[in-house]
Amino acid sequence: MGGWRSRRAASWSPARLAWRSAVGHRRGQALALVAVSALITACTAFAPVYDRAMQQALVYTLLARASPAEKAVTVVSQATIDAGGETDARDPRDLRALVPADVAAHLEPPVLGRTAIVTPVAGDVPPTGQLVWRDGFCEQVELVSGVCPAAAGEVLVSDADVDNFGLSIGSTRTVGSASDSPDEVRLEVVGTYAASDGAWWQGLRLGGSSSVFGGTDPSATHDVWLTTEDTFVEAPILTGESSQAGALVRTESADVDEVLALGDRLRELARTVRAEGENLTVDSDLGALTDDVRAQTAQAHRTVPLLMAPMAVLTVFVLWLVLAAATEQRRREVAVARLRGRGPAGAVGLLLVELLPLLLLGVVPGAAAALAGGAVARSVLPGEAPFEVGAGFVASVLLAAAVVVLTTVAAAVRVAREPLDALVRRGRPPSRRWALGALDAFLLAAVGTGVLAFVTGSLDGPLALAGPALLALFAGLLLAHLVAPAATAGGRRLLRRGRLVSGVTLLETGRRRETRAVIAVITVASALAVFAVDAVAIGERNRTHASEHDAGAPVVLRLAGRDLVGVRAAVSEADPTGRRATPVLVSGETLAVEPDGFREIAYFPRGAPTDAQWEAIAPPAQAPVDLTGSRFSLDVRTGDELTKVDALGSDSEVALGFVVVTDTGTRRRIRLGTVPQPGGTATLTGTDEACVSGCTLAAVELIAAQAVDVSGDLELGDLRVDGRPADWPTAADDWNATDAQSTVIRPTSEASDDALGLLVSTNGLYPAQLTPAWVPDTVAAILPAARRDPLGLVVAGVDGSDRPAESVGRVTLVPAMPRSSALVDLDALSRGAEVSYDAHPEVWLVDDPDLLAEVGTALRERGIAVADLRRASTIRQAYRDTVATWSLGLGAVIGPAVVLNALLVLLVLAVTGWRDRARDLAILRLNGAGRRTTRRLAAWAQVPAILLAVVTGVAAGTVGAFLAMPDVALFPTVPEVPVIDTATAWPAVLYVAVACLVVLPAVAATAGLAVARRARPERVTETV
Amino acid sequence: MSGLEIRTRGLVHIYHAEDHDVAALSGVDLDVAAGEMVGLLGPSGSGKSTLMSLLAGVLRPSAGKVFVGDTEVSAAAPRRLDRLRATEIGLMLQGADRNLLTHATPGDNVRFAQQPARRAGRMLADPAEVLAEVGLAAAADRPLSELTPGGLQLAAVAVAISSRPGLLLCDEPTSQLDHEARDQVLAALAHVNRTHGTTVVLVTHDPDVARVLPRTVTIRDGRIGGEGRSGEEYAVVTADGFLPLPGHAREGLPPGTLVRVHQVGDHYEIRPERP
Repeated sequence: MGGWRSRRAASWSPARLAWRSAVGHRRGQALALVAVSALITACTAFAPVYDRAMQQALVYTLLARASPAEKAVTVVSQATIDAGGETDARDPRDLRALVPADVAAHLEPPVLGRTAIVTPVAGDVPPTGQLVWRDGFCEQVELVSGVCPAAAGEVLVSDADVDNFGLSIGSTRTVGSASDSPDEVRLEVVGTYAASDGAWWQGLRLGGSSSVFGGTDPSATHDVWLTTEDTFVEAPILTGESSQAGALVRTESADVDEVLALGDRLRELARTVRAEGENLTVDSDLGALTDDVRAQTAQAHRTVPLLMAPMAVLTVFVLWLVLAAATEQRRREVAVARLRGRGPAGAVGLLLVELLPLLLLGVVPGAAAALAGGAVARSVLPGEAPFEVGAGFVASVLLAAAVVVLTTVAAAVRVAREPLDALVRRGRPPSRRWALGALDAFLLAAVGTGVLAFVTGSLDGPLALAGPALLALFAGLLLAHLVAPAATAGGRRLLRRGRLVSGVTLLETGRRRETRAVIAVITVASALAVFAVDAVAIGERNRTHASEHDAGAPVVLRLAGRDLVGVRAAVSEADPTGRRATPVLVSGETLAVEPDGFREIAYFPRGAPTDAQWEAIAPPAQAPVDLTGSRFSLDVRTGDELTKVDALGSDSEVALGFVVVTDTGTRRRIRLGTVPQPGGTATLTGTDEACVSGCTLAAVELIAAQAVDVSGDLELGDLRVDGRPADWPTAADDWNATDAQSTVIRPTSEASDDALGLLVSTNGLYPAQLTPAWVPDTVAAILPAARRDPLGLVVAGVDGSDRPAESVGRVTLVPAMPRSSALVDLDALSRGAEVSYDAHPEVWLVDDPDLLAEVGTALRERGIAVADLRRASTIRQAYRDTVATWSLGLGAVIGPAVVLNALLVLLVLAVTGWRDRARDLAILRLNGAGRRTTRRLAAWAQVPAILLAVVTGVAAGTVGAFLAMPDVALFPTVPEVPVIDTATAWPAVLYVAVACLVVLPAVAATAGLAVARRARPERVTETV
Repeated sequence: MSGLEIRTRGLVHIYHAEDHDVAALSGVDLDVAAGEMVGLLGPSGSGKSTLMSLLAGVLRPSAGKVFVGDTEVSAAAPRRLDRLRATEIGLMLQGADRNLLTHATPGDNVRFAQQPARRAGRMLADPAEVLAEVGLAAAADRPLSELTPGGLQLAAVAVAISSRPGLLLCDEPTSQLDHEARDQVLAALAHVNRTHGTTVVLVTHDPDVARVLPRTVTIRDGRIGGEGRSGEEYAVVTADGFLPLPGHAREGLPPGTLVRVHQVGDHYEIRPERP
């Protein structure tokens, strides 16, 4: 023979052979390989893309939500006066020069300015407010009348100031300086302006402050008075005088890197500027913003891996299954290669040449899918972040490719290194015994240890977040190893009872090699889907809770001033039903409400008070003592034993008076006169014109010099107002006994019928008061569950004083209030008291623009300004625009994706194993089984295992979420009140469970039917 | 390459099952001369395929030695065995599809099989010539699925001889073939044996195949049960003096029968002791 001569065969191409094998011969499997590889790459690469998109969206949101003041970067120089002398504020131009060019490049053009606090030296109630110069301010306000200031001392004032303080063009006011010097500054009004709150003013509020409040402590504030720079330059140093150069951060193209870098540079600038002078500062909230960005990004770095890592592991597991099936199918090729002298390494090479190109090909669409997902994320998230292919993305794609390569090598080595005799054997002998392999045992032990630590709470921090995945894996592995023997035993029992289809189905479940993989994957996938969707639902619920708690009601108007009576009248006028708008008074941490309207309008996200609790906080039912008039008289009779002596034992004078509250809510004192001598009777009188329009009695008081002891009986009766008899309660129950350590005033029943008898014992602290029972002695309060009062319960009164209180019930949260707050009845808290500056009124209402307008009009008519408006919807959106929300939002993608993974496994196993199963069914048909029977067997082949796996997975996912959700960051910062409720979101769990229970068995059954259609008798002898 | 001789001594192989062990070979002494063509006969389970696997180095014997040429296959390192299978031993498993890449053409299969030998520096014939040698030149580029069972078996022969081995081991190469295909396969094997001096050992159940082989060895119960040469059946005395009785003699000499062996002239007589 003359042929043995060539060392190289003609046109030999391993790649062509591999292509023909992989794509030509196993097209479905090739598609599965590409798909799984793409899925792994997409999952891996999407994490950094999404992370980046979240960061960009966060920066956009924070900047968009930031007020001009929060976006301003201002270099401030404060004028100082101290023992060392006076130091003027620096020239604003010098301040501008302190900003380095690289920082200035990220800022809008700076606005120079000067500011001081001025108060006219003359007038009954001289208003206090800001005197401001901003370079170019005339173009930034609407000049209503007059001219723009041009010379030193000229000012523009607001129309409100004109109305409130009698100013007009030409009016002059003289304001004092900051020092003790007699120098004063004369200001002349040359025009009026309409306020503008544009961004140019960088948060400076020009108007809305002008107000006068009378009462016992009158005060007034004026709006900003605008003047020229010369006013400051020529004047002595004014109170709180400063100069500044401020600019807004450019937001139109700010990306996360720039903003973070700018925040760092501003901190550095603040240090540098401070070193130049003690009175120099850099004011900027950008540092807080960048801290927020970093904190939320750190949160994302916990939550995103929590959701993505289990899915990535599952996907790698799926890849392993697919590769195991693919390499198993190539055992014959491996055997041929080994028979022809290729060693295990050569056989590995053979497999890699065939499999790796497909898998690496899948990396490309996977990377593209990740970028497309990023584009979708950017379009869904706020802002318009640019398209980016960052280092994180590239690293992730490379990581995915490395994982794919390593997994493929491992799968190839697993088959190629088998002994040759095992490779050349026809088929693999099925194991008839249940056995736990060393690897399985190790996995179960390792995962079981993790689960034990997770369940007992020993895992904390980021490790705790791996708990749900560990639990799912443990449940999946355990179930996978228990099902085979159980199904086999069950199948035999059913067969003995003549149940052919169900018996054979269970026997098949126990016999088939892929049962373990199917059960493990579907258990883990179901668990992760339940966990992910449950987490999304819990997150949404808690955001709703938090926003409802923070807002308190759909719309809340915070009002300036303290005119509670006016507010109640305005609300009553705008909403006569009292069910759509309600007045509220916030005093310290006490929330005083009108229960009937409040319970209809306010949010109680974690449980509202019961009817009994609402009834329990109602004020006393007693009627008030009406003192409408101007002249008052009261008969006073003293007991024979009455003593009133001072510290030296001398008889001392004791006076009697009324404390009343006018119909405008002002508390006033009316002195009635001196108590007669012991055993005497007198008619005491007093006058107060303020009560002509209506007063109610808040207290009767005894007034004496300090340290005077008063002891004995008194009788008070025959109250007359403007000479007419008035109702005067005389029963003991109509009054609150005063029973303090130094003061006892106790009503008695020993007086004559028309008089109130009192037993008095005071020893030195005055005035000593006796309140009518109409004023609750102790305020009934509903408290938050977390509040603890070991020293006794008090609530803040409307005047800021502590009021004794009693708890009548608990709720988890009091709307819009902190954890140590109290919910009380507005009437109960305000009776007999005057609202002080420690309290502020609010109006809580439903979100109805018409109602809002009516309430606003009614308030304006009473001179009540709205200081702030908050909406639940705005707060809810703010909570939604956080990294915590967006991170958890991944769950909405991951839930379906893991189920898709499970579907892929079922399809891959169907594609790779259909010939064997079709042959088995064909043999059954040859043995007499009907087509219907084989179809039923094929359809039900995997269904029992899948159903069991889904149920187990759902249970594992639910338990995992229950245990892990307390460790998941639902908000950027931990709420101070217990808004967080991580209870299982059962509707979401049921939704996922039903979806898995329907979709997965349906797909398996459909694949089985497709196999059954191919179970023709000729399959029995099929080889090539 | 010329043919390789085979020597086995005391060859024992035991399969370890889950709950019991099975002795497939219980001491086989076999000599095959270089360039011989030998058929292994015997009932199913007698150990023929096991012996083939031991000769090819696919299995390692539980005891005993296997020599192929100068190489002690039973003690060779895995790399040495790979090299032997790449260059000197061609093994054809039972069932053509188990020897072929099913998605490749016969030509590609031959090329694939030649690769290790080429890497080892062997000068080999072009695949077309190898295929022509077994009569498959026209089917070189056709898909395997288009070949007849006989064509598939011939393709498997072509693959097995593609690296011009000194020893060709064929397990049931003619099973499930019609007469025409069977004869084509036998002709191809005989051609290889005759033309290249390749030692050929084939396992067969087919008496017609056995009849045309110059030498047959019958394996029975894991031992050499007899030999046939030129149509004559012989019993074979093993190295340790055992003499397996031929089938027809066993009927008259059931297990436990006491016999006397007498030398009568130039031959021996076996006479049972009657109780």
